[in-house]
Parts: sequence; structure tokens; C-alpha cells
Amino acid sequence: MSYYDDDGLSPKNAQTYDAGTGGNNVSPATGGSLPGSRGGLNGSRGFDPNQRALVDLAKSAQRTGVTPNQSATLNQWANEYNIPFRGPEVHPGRPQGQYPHIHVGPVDHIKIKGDCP
Amino acid sequence: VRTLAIKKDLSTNEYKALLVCLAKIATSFTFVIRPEIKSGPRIKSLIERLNDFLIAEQEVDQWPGTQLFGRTAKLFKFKLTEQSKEILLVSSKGLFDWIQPELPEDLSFLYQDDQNCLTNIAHEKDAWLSLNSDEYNLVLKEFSELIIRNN
Repeated sequence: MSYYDDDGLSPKNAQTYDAGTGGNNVSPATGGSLPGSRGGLNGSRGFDPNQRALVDLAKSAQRTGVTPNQSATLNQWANEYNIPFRGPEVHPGRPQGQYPHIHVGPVDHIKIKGDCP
Repeated sequence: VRTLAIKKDLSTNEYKALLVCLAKIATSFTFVIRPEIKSGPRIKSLIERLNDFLIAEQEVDQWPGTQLFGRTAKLFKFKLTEQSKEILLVSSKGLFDWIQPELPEDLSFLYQDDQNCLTNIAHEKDAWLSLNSDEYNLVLKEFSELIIRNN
């Protein structure tokens, strides 16, 4: 199961990482990395470990985009770990944010894939 | 109507001069409270101080510059007077400081007919003025350094 399986992801189960069940599981609590991400925590200074891990996940998501369900999960985690979350939102006709996106802490314009609710 | 964008690194003095200028041409201002973002104590205090100038308060899923999906925010609209302008002047140091949790979001200004005068997407550091010819000339004359480009 990958981290971003909509059916398998919940804040509750994502807070536990069982290395024996598959290396792709990850959560803010464990500080792991998304498949394909650099996985380091060095780029997110000034956060506690959970916040740092969430910001790193958001950075990965910024490259790939997220589904509405994944956006909702990031929102839940942002609330749980006290990281500001904005969106989903769009700024029609403006230089930035013309497409549906979210902001997670310092990570801006994470594109929403598919239709927003 | 002509549109002028506000530069992103507006100084405090420039911001306050802009508010003074807007008070001459706008008649109301708005900001929003987004429930998905925490609200600090200054927000409650500010709304209490502005209570006498409150025109409307409503749940919205869009406001000038921003549209939400699947959620709403609370839009507050206030009368722009000398007193309410003074409250704004002492409450913030910059146009792009209007971000939760410290302050409500997206302080913007409206004309008498509710058309947008200054629209602000504070977290994007994106704000612009919508001006008729007379106002355009006034702003360019007094505040040309505030402007970064025509949209």
C-alpha cells in the first residue's frame, strides 16, 4: 500500500509505520518519505519532527499534485500538527494560483488533481 | 476601469499612505475569517473595535480574488470612516500582513457601489487597484512608487 492510497490512508493509521509491511508507508509522525521524494528532513528547518515530516510530504506533493481526498488528509494532519493550511482555493485571473490548489505551511500551490468538491 | 498592481515589498509608510489615499475614494472595506486557519486573539479584539462600523457579516465561498472549494469563510464588511481607518492604521504594518492567525485575511476596499477598489490576496502577496480615470491619475500622481505594473 502506498502512502497516497485514498482507501488506505487515514490520520490514525498513518501515524504508525511498520517497516515490515512495506517501505512506502509514511506519516508525519515517522518522518518518512514519499516514493520518489528525497526523503530528507534538512529542507524544513524550524519545525518539530512531525511538522518537518508533513512539510516534506507537502513538498513532494507539490511536485505531483494531490487528489481532493489526499488534500483532505493533508488538511487533517496540518490541523493535528499545527501547520497552517489554506484551500482548496483558486485565484481566477491572477498571476499565481489560477488552478485549484492548497497551501501547507510554507509549501505553496500544491495542485489539486481532478475535480474539486 | 484601469488596474494597477501594488508592489510586493510595500513599506509600512507606503502602506499607511495608501490607506489614507483609499479613505478618500472608497467607502467600505472587507476582510475574511477562514475557519480552516486558526484565529489569534488579535482578531477577536480587532472585530470588537470595529463593531460600530459593521455593515454586514456573511458566510461566503468566494470573495474578490479567491474562490474556495467545499468550504466557506466569514466575510466582514465595515464602513470606512476616519475612525475605522485609524483602527486599521494601528492594527497592521503592511497590506500583506492581513493573514491569519495574526489578523483577518485579505483586507480589501470597496467603492460606494460595492465595486472593488483595492483587492488583496495577502498570502499570495497579490493586490491591485481598480480605478477610473480620475482616481487613476490621483493615485499615479501621489503614489506612483506603489505601483509595479499594469495588469
